[in-house]
Amino acid sequence: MSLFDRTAEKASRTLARRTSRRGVLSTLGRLFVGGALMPLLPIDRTYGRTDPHQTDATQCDYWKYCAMDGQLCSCCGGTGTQCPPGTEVSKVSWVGTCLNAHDGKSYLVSYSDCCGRSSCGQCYCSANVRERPGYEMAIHNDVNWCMANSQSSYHCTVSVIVGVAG
Amino acid sequence: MSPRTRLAAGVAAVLALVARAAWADLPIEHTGVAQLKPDNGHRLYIVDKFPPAHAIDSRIHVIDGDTFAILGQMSNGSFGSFAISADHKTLFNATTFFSRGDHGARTDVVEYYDTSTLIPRSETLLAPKRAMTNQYSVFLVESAGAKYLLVQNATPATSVSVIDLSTKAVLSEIETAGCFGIYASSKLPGRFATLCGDGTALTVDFDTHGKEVGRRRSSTLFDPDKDALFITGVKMGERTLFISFLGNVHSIDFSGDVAKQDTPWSFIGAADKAARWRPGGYGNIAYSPFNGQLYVGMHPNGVEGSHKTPAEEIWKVDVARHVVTGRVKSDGANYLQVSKEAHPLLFSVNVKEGIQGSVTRYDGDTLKVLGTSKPDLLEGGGPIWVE
Repeated sequence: MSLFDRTAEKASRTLARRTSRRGVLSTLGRLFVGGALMPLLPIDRTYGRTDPHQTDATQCDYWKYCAMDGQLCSCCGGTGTQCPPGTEVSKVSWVGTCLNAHDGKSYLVSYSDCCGRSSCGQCYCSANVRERPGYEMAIHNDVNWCMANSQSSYHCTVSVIVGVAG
Repeated sequence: MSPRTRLAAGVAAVLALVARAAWADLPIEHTGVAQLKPDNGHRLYIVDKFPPAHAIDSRIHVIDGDTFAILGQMSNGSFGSFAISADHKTLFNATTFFSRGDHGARTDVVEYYDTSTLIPRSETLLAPKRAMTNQYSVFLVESAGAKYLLVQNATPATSVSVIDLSTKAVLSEIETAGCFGIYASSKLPGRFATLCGDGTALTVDFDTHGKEVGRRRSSTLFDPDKDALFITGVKMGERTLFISFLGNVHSIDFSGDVAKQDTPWSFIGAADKAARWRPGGYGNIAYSPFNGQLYVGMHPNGVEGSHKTPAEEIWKVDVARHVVTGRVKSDGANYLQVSKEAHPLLFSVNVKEGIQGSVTRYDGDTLKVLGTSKPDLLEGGGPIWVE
């Protein structure tokens, strides 16, 4: 694993341990996403792809999928947050900033790919709120995030809330 | 033999002769391999069955742009990239394979396909760090003078591998942290630039051994948060044209030791801005140096996050005058390419509900639709290259 990867993993683990410290996450959100700099204006930022009210994790318009690009692991033997049996979670991931309309808060959502099997072929979803090209890799969803795994074939994608963005 | 019997016998004999003639043996056949139709400048190379639906078995179809007939196929492996050499003789196929199909040992490789036979003639093994990404034309780039092949890496730390095309050997790996995409200098073989997350471009010089000998970062060229640039640029002489998420055109010169750009401009008029017409799709831009026209896939009601929306219209933009010179409806164009001829043809690869993957051919000057393939010619349908 490269120094970059080790550093990224360490940072991610540190971030995970501090999910209750909203101030830290808010700062990270500003640094990594820039999304927190934008106020929660009453406009649709999801272009019909995601519904901030939607709570069904098996549907593409689930609020948490605002920057999802992949096949839902919940359709592939896993769940919205758990990879299917026999696969492994990607060591690196990308983040989105999604609005939950029920509490009016924006959350940092980390999207991880599940690796080591060919494409699941089910429930493809694509949404790109605050997604940017690969020169902003941390918020880019066009790469295979299994890239750093020893088994780097792409199978499906899960997502987890890692904190409040602002 | 009675007359009636003789008549019956005669009829039977005639019928037998007719039947024999009708059931004569067909000629003996032999299997073989068809000759590839010579490239007439309308040969299309289109990636099909790409990720995420197909993560390990993408392919590159060779398609006759005049008839939409499939002429042949090459493997594009897992999250591959491809490019055609400047002399049109070689297809560079940079991709990844696993020894057990979807698992096992990972092999990253550049294969060199002969475009006259579609047979790989040689290859270069790469370190297992090639960028596994949806394809954009800026991830596998031939240098000026056809001297080097530049391969985008991502682990996700980003770098560029330099291959000497005369020996097919990897010369070096040049670190490009925080930047992505490869834009070869139009003048110097040993120079490329890359776009960076702070809105600048980094220009790197390397010597004949692939060793980096200099790098310079440009001033800020764009705002990645407020109006990001699509990563695909199209060559216009020494300049590369980009469009932004909001529809501004950035003309950047990567030929010098530091990238410079002209003043960005917009081709979207006030009424269309009010209707929030914006560029969208993946390879959503093409340019013809023969007529000076830029082609852009556009969609209305654009908002943050709509930048990958397939086109509802394709707009033709006069680069010299900064005005829209034509618009045509589109069934979800995701990728555009234009033929290299005085009266160019525009091709689009389309995906929308009810259209699994089709190709449309337009008159590049009038935007008149000249033909469309069947809607399921492709499954998805990805990057396109016209030669």
